[in-house]
Amino acid sequence: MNDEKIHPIDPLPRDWLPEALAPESHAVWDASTARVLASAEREWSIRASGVPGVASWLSEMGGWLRPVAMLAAAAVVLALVLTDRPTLMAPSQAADAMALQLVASGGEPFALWAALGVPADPVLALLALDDHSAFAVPERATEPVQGDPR
Amino acid sequence: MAGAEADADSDEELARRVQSGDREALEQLVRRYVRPVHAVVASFLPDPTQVEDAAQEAFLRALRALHQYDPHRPFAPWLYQIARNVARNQSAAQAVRRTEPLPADGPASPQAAPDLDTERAEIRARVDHQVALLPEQRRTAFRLVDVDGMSAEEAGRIMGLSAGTIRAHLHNARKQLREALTEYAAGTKGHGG
Repeated sequence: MNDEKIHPIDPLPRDWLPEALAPESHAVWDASTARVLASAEREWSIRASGVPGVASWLSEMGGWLRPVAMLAAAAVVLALVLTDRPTLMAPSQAADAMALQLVASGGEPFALWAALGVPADPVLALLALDDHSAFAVPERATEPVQGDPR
Repeated sequence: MAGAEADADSDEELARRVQSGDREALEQLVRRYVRPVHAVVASFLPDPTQVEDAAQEAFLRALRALHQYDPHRPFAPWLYQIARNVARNQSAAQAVRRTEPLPADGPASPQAAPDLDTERAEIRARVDHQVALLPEQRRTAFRLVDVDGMSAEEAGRIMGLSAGTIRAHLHNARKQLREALTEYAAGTKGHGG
Protein backbone atom coordinates (compact mmCIF):
# COMPACT_ATOMS: atom_id res chain seq x y z
CA MET A 1 0.00 0.00 0.00
CA ASN A 2 1.25 3.48 -0.80
CA ASP A 3 2.10 5.25 2.45
CA GLU A 4 1.86 8.73 0.91
CA LYS A 5 -1.72 8.03 -0.13
CA ILE A 6 -2.85 6.22 2.95
CA HIS A 7 -1.07 8.38 5.51
CA PRO A 8 -1.59 11.98 4.51
CA ILE A 9 -3.14 13.13 7.76
CA ASP A 10 -0.69 13.96 10.51
CA PRO A 11 -1.29 12.76 14.05
CA LEU A 12 -3.11 15.05 16.45
CA PRO A 13 -0.86 17.17 18.68
CA ARG A 14 0.63 15.03 21.44
CA ASP A 15 -0.75 17.16 24.25
CA TRP A 16 -4.28 16.57 22.99
CA LEU A 17 -3.99 12.83 23.28
CA PRO A 18 -4.56 10.59 26.31
CA GLU A 19 -1.55 9.81 28.51
CA ALA A 20 0.69 7.27 26.87
CA LEU A 21 1.65 4.13 28.73
CA ALA A 22 5.08 4.09 30.36
CA PRO A 23 7.95 3.06 28.07
CA GLU A 24 8.75 -0.61 27.84
CA SER A 25 11.83 -0.34 30.04
CA HIS A 26 9.93 1.33 32.89
CA ALA A 27 9.81 -0.35 36.30
CA VAL A 28 6.02 -0.24 36.29
CA TRP A 29 6.03 -3.18 33.90
CA ASP A 30 8.20 -5.23 36.26
CA ALA A 31 5.60 -4.72 38.96
CA SER A 32 2.76 -5.55 36.60
CA THR A 33 4.55 -8.66 35.38
CA ALA A 34 5.15 -9.74 38.98
CA ARG A 35 1.45 -9.38 39.75
CA VAL A 36 0.46 -11.46 36.74
CA LEU A 37 3.00 -14.13 37.65
CA ALA A 38 1.81 -14.22 41.27
CA SER A 39 -1.77 -14.78 40.11
CA ALA A 40 -0.59 -17.36 37.58
CA GLU A 41 1.39 -19.13 40.29
CA ARG A 42 -1.72 -19.42 42.45
CA GLU A 43 -3.60 -20.80 39.47
CA TRP A 44 -0.83 -23.27 38.77
CA SER A 45 -0.59 -24.36 42.40
CA ILE A 46 -4.29 -25.09 42.48
CA ARG A 47 -3.97 -27.24 39.38
CA ALA A 48 -0.83 -28.99 40.59
CA SER A 49 -2.24 -29.78 44.05
CA GLY A 50 -5.14 -31.49 42.37
CA VAL A 51 -7.83 -29.61 44.27
CA PRO A 52 -10.78 -30.71 42.24
CA GLY A 53 -12.93 -28.27 40.40
CA VAL A 54 -16.55 -29.03 39.65
CA ALA A 55 -15.71 -31.01 36.51
CA SER A 56 -13.05 -33.15 38.13
CA TRP A 57 -15.27 -33.68 41.19
CA LEU A 58 -18.03 -35.01 38.95
CA SER A 59 -15.53 -37.16 37.13
CA GLU A 60 -14.30 -38.61 40.41
CA MET A 61 -17.84 -39.26 41.61
CA GLY A 62 -18.53 -40.97 38.31
CA GLY A 63 -15.56 -43.23 38.90
CA TRP A 64 -16.99 -44.25 42.26
CA LEU A 65 -20.59 -44.52 41.13
CA ARG A 66 -20.00 -46.61 38.02
CA PRO A 67 -19.07 -49.88 39.81
CA VAL A 68 -21.79 -49.28 42.39
CA ALA A 69 -24.36 -48.84 39.63
CA MET A 70 -23.15 -51.98 37.90
CA LEU A 71 -23.39 -53.98 41.12
CA ALA A 72 -26.91 -52.69 41.73
CA ALA A 73 -27.97 -53.64 38.20
CA ALA A 74 -26.50 -57.12 38.64
CA ALA A 75 -28.36 -57.51 41.93
CA VAL A 76 -31.67 -56.58 40.31
CA VAL A 77 -31.12 -59.06 37.48
CA LEU A 78 -30.22 -61.82 39.92
CA ALA A 79 -33.28 -61.08 42.02
CA LEU A 80 -35.51 -61.33 38.96
CA VAL A 81 -33.90 -64.57 37.84
CA LEU A 82 -33.94 -66.28 41.22
CA THR A 83 -37.14 -64.98 42.79
CA ASP A 84 -39.68 -63.40 40.51
CA ARG A 85 -39.11 -65.31 37.34
CA PRO A 86 -41.18 -68.47 38.19
CA THR A 87 -44.12 -66.38 39.35
CA LEU A 88 -43.97 -64.07 36.39
CA MET A 89 -43.35 -66.71 33.74
CA ALA A 90 -45.32 -69.74 34.98
CA PRO A 91 -48.81 -69.23 33.48
CA SER A 92 -47.77 -68.57 29.94
CA GLN A 93 -45.02 -71.14 30.11
CA ALA A 94 -47.41 -73.88 31.34
CA ALA A 95 -49.98 -73.07 28.67
CA ASP A 96 -47.29 -73.14 25.97
CA ALA A 97 -45.95 -76.44 27.26
CA MET A 98 -49.41 -78.07 27.35
CA ALA A 99 -50.24 -76.92 23.85
CA LEU A 100 -46.96 -78.23 22.56
CA GLN A 101 -47.46 -81.58 24.29
CA LEU A 102 -50.99 -81.93 22.94
CA VAL A 103 -49.74 -81.28 19.43
CA ALA A 104 -46.79 -83.62 19.96
CA SER A 105 -49.02 -86.41 21.29
CA GLY A 106 -50.43 -86.85 17.78
CA GLY A 107 -53.59 -88.33 19.30
CA GLU A 108 -51.71 -91.13 21.00
CA PRO A 109 -53.72 -91.86 24.24
CA PHE A 110 -50.89 -92.15 26.69
CA ALA A 111 -49.18 -89.00 25.48
CA LEU A 112 -52.51 -87.22 25.43
CA TRP A 113 -53.19 -88.05 29.09
CA ALA A 114 -49.68 -87.11 29.97
CA ALA A 115 -50.15 -83.74 28.23
CA LEU A 116 -53.18 -83.12 30.42
CA GLY A 117 -51.13 -83.95 33.48
CA VAL A 118 -52.70 -87.35 34.18
CA PRO A 119 -50.19 -90.13 34.75
CA ALA A 120 -51.68 -93.11 33.00
CA ASP A 121 -50.75 -96.62 32.18
CA PRO A 122 -50.43 -96.96 28.39
CA VAL A 123 -52.84 -99.89 28.17
CA LEU A 124 -55.42 -98.46 30.55
CA ALA A 125 -55.24 -95.12 28.81
CA LEU A 126 -56.05 -96.81 25.52
CA LEU A 127 -58.89 -98.77 27.07
CA ALA A 128 -60.31 -95.64 28.64
CA LEU A 129 -60.42 -93.85 25.34
CA ASP A 130 -61.90 -96.89 23.56
CA ASP A 131 -64.60 -97.30 26.22
CA HIS A 132 -67.29 -94.98 24.91
CA SER A 133 -69.53 -95.64 27.85
CA ALA A 134 -66.93 -94.09 30.17
CA PHE A 135 -67.43 -90.73 28.45
CA ALA A 136 -71.08 -91.09 27.33
CA VAL A 137 -72.75 -91.79 30.68
CA PRO A 138 -73.76 -88.22 31.58
CA GLU A 139 -75.20 -87.52 28.13
CA ARG A 140 -77.15 -90.76 28.04
CA ALA A 141 -78.73 -89.95 31.39
CA THR A 142 -80.52 -86.94 29.95
CA GLU A 143 -80.76 -87.71 26.25
CA PRO A 144 -80.95 -91.35 25.23
CA VAL A 145 -79.15 -92.24 22.05
CA GLN A 146 -81.04 -94.27 19.51
CA GLY A 147 -79.80 -97.76 18.98
CA ASP A 148 -78.62 -98.12 22.56
CA PRO A 149 -78.70 -101.89 23.42
CA ARG A 150 -80.23 -101.10 26.80
CA MET B 1 8.81 -5.52 21.45
CA ALA B 2 11.06 -8.38 22.46
CA GLY B 3 9.17 -10.71 20.14
CA ALA B 4 11.05 -9.18 17.24
CA GLU B 5 14.45 -10.22 18.58
CA ALA B 6 16.01 -12.73 16.25
CA ASP B 7 17.74 -14.78 18.93
CA ALA B 8 14.77 -14.90 21.31
CA ASP B 9 12.34 -17.77 21.39
CA SER B 10 9.28 -17.14 19.30
CA ASP B 11 6.01 -16.37 21.05
CA GLU B 12 4.61 -19.64 19.80
CA GLU B 13 7.57 -21.65 21.14
CA LEU B 14 7.26 -19.93 24.52
CA ALA B 15 3.52 -20.62 24.57
CA ARG B 16 4.19 -24.29 23.77
CA ARG B 17 6.64 -24.45 26.67
CA VAL B 18 4.12 -22.80 28.99
CA GLN B 19 1.61 -25.45 27.93
CA SER B 20 4.02 -28.08 29.25
CA GLY B 21 4.40 -26.24 32.56
CA ASP B 22 7.49 -24.07 31.99
CA ARG B 23 7.21 -21.12 34.40
CA GLU B 24 10.24 -19.34 32.96
CA ALA B 25 8.63 -19.32 29.54
CA LEU B 26 5.50 -17.86 31.09
CA GLU B 27 7.51 -15.03 32.62
CA GLN B 28 9.15 -14.26 29.28
CA LEU B 29 5.81 -14.24 27.54
CA VAL B 30 4.20 -11.97 30.14
CA ARG B 31 7.16 -9.54 30.06
CA ARG B 32 6.92 -9.45 26.29
CA TYR B 33 3.21 -8.69 26.20
CA VAL B 34 2.50 -6.80 29.40
CA ARG B 35 2.66 -3.36 27.74
CA PRO B 36 0.79 -4.29 24.52
CA VAL B 37 -2.00 -5.93 26.52
CA HIS B 38 -2.30 -2.79 28.66
CA ALA B 39 -2.42 -0.70 25.49
CA VAL B 40 -5.15 -2.82 23.93
CA VAL B 41 -7.21 -2.73 27.12
CA ALA B 42 -6.65 1.04 27.46
CA SER B 43 -8.31 1.55 24.08
CA PHE B 44 -11.55 0.35 25.72
CA LEU B 45 -11.18 1.62 29.28
CA PRO B 46 -10.13 5.18 30.09
CA ASP B 47 -9.55 4.61 33.83
CA PRO B 48 -5.93 3.41 34.51
CA THR B 49 -6.96 1.28 37.51
CA GLN B 50 -9.51 -0.51 35.36
CA VAL B 51 -6.84 -0.97 32.72
CA GLU B 52 -4.53 -2.66 35.21
CA ASP B 53 -7.28 -4.96 36.49
CA ALA B 54 -8.43 -5.87 33.00
CA ALA B 55 -4.89 -6.58 31.83
CA GLN B 56 -4.31 -8.91 34.79
CA GLU B 57 -7.59 -10.64 34.07
CA ALA B 58 -6.68 -11.01 30.40
CA PHE B 59 -3.40 -12.73 31.24
CA LEU B 60 -5.11 -15.07 33.69
CA ARG B 61 -7.79 -16.00 31.17
CA ALA B 62 -5.12 -16.60 28.57
CA LEU B 63 -3.29 -18.88 30.98
CA ARG B 64 -6.47 -20.82 31.72
CA ALA B 65 -7.24 -21.16 28.02
CA LEU B 66 -3.68 -21.89 26.94
CA HIS B 67 -4.38 -25.62 26.55
CA GLN B 68 -6.72 -24.65 23.69
CA TYR B 69 -4.08 -22.55 21.93
CA ASP B 70 -2.57 -24.07 18.78
CA PRO B 71 1.17 -23.20 18.69
CA HIS B 72 1.07 -23.38 14.90
CA ARG B 73 -0.98 -20.18 14.86
CA PRO B 74 0.32 -16.71 15.78
CA PHE B 75 0.22 -16.12 19.51
CA ALA B 76 -0.16 -12.33 19.58
CA PRO B 77 -3.59 -12.11 17.86
CA TRP B 78 -4.84 -14.94 20.08
CA LEU B 79 -3.84 -13.01 23.19
CA TYR B 80 -5.19 -9.81 21.64
CA GLN B 81 -8.63 -11.39 21.21
CA ILE B 82 -8.71 -12.42 24.86
CA ALA B 83 -7.61 -8.96 26.06
CA ARG B 84 -10.16 -7.36 23.75
CA ASN B 85 -13.00 -9.53 25.08
CA VAL B 86 -12.10 -8.85 28.70
CA ALA B 87 -11.87 -5.11 28.08
CA ARG B 88 -15.05 -5.04 26.04
CA ASN B 89 -16.99 -6.82 28.79
CA GLN B 90 -15.68 -4.46 31.46
CA SER B 91 -16.43 -1.48 29.26
CA ALA B 92 -19.99 -2.69 28.73
CA ALA B 93 -20.44 -3.21 32.47
CA GLN B 94 -19.07 0.27 33.08
CA ALA B 95 -21.43 1.75 30.48
CA VAL B 96 -24.37 0.22 32.29
CA ARG B 97 -23.23 1.74 35.58
CA ARG B 98 -22.49 5.14 34.05
CA THR B 99 -25.25 7.60 34.85
CA GLU B 100 -23.87 10.84 33.48
CA PRO B 101 -22.44 10.61 29.96
CA LEU B 102 -20.55 13.47 28.34
CA PRO B 103 -22.81 15.87 26.47
CA ALA B 104 -23.07 15.12 22.77
CA ASP B 105 -21.44 18.41 21.78
CA GLY B 106 -18.57 17.91 24.29
CA PRO B 107 -17.03 20.58 26.50
CA ALA B 108 -17.21 24.30 25.82
CA SER B 109 -15.49 25.90 22.85
CA PRO B 110 -11.86 27.11 23.17
CA GLN B 111 -12.94 30.78 23.16
CA ALA B 112 -14.78 30.21 26.43
CA ALA B 113 -11.63 28.99 28.22
CA PRO B 114 -8.91 31.59 28.31
CA ASP B 115 -6.56 29.70 30.65
CA LEU B 116 -4.14 27.43 28.71
CA ASP B 117 -4.33 24.45 31.10
CA THR B 118 -8.09 24.64 31.22
CA GLU B 119 -8.21 24.79 27.46
CA ARG B 120 -5.88 21.83 27.15
CA ALA B 121 -7.98 19.85 29.62
CA GLU B 122 -11.07 20.65 27.65
CA ILE B 123 -9.48 19.62 24.40
CA ARG B 124 -8.34 16.37 25.97
CA ALA B 125 -11.79 15.64 27.31
CA ARG B 126 -13.20 16.35 23.88
CA VAL B 127 -10.61 14.11 22.23
CA ASP B 128 -11.26 11.33 24.74
CA HIS B 129 -14.95 11.58 23.99
CA GLN B 130 -14.39 11.48 20.24
CA VAL B 131 -11.87 8.62 20.49
CA ALA B 132 -14.45 6.60 22.40
CA LEU B 133 -16.81 7.06 19.45
CA LEU B 134 -14.36 5.56 16.93
CA PRO B 135 -15.08 2.05 15.63
CA GLU B 136 -13.31 -0.58 17.69
CA GLN B 137 -10.38 -1.56 15.44
CA ARG B 138 -9.82 2.03 14.38
CA ARG B 139 -9.72 3.08 18.02
CA THR B 140 -7.29 0.31 19.01
CA ALA B 141 -4.97 1.06 16.09
CA PHE B 142 -5.07 4.75 17.05
CA ARG B 143 -4.28 3.91 20.67
CA LEU B 144 -1.39 1.54 19.87
CA VAL B 145 0.29 3.77 17.29
CA ASP B 146 -0.59 7.41 17.90
CA VAL B 147 -0.91 7.27 21.68
CA ASP B 148 1.50 4.53 22.77
CA GLY B 149 4.02 4.94 19.99
CA MET B 150 4.08 1.48 18.40
CA SER B 151 4.88 1.08 14.74
CA ALA B 152 2.11 0.11 12.32
CA GLU B 153 3.89 -3.22 11.80
CA GLU B 154 3.96 -3.96 15.52
CA ALA B 155 0.32 -2.99 15.99
CA GLY B 156 -0.61 -5.13 13.01
CA ARG B 157 1.25 -8.12 14.42
CA ILE B 158 -0.60 -7.79 17.71
CA MET B 159 -4.01 -7.27 16.15
CA GLY B 160 -3.53 -9.89 13.45
CA LEU B 161 -3.78 -7.29 10.66
CA SER B 162 -1.40 -6.07 7.98
CA ALA B 163 0.56 -2.86 8.51
CA GLY B 164 -1.34 -1.38 5.56
CA THR B 165 -4.66 -2.04 7.25
CA ILE B 166 -3.37 -0.42 10.43
CA ARG B 167 -2.33 2.65 8.42
CA ALA B 168 -5.77 2.79 6.86
CA HIS B 169 -7.34 2.65 10.31
CA LEU B 170 -5.02 5.43 11.47
CA HIS B 171 -5.87 7.55 8.46
CA ASN B 172 -9.57 7.21 9.10
CA ALA B 173 -9.23 7.74 12.84
CA ARG B 174 -7.21 10.96 12.43
CA LYS B 175 -9.61 12.22 9.79
CA GLN B 176 -12.64 11.48 11.94
CA LEU B 177 -11.07 13.10 14.99
CA ARG B 178 -9.95 16.22 13.11
CA GLU B 179 -13.40 16.63 11.62
CA ALA B 180 -14.97 16.32 15.04
CA LEU B 181 -12.50 18.81 16.51
CA THR B 182 -12.62 21.33 13.70
CA GLU B 183 -12.47 24.42 15.87
CA TYR B 184 -9.35 23.10 17.60
CA ALA B 185 -7.76 21.46 14.57
CA ALA B 186 -7.92 24.72 12.60
CA GLY B 187 -5.31 26.14 14.97
CA THR B 188 -2.95 23.19 14.66
CA LYS B 189 -1.97 23.41 10.99
CA GLY B 190 1.51 24.22 12.19
CA HIS B 191 1.60 20.83 13.97
CA GLY B 192 1.00 19.26 10.61
CA GLY B 193 -2.46 18.50 9.33
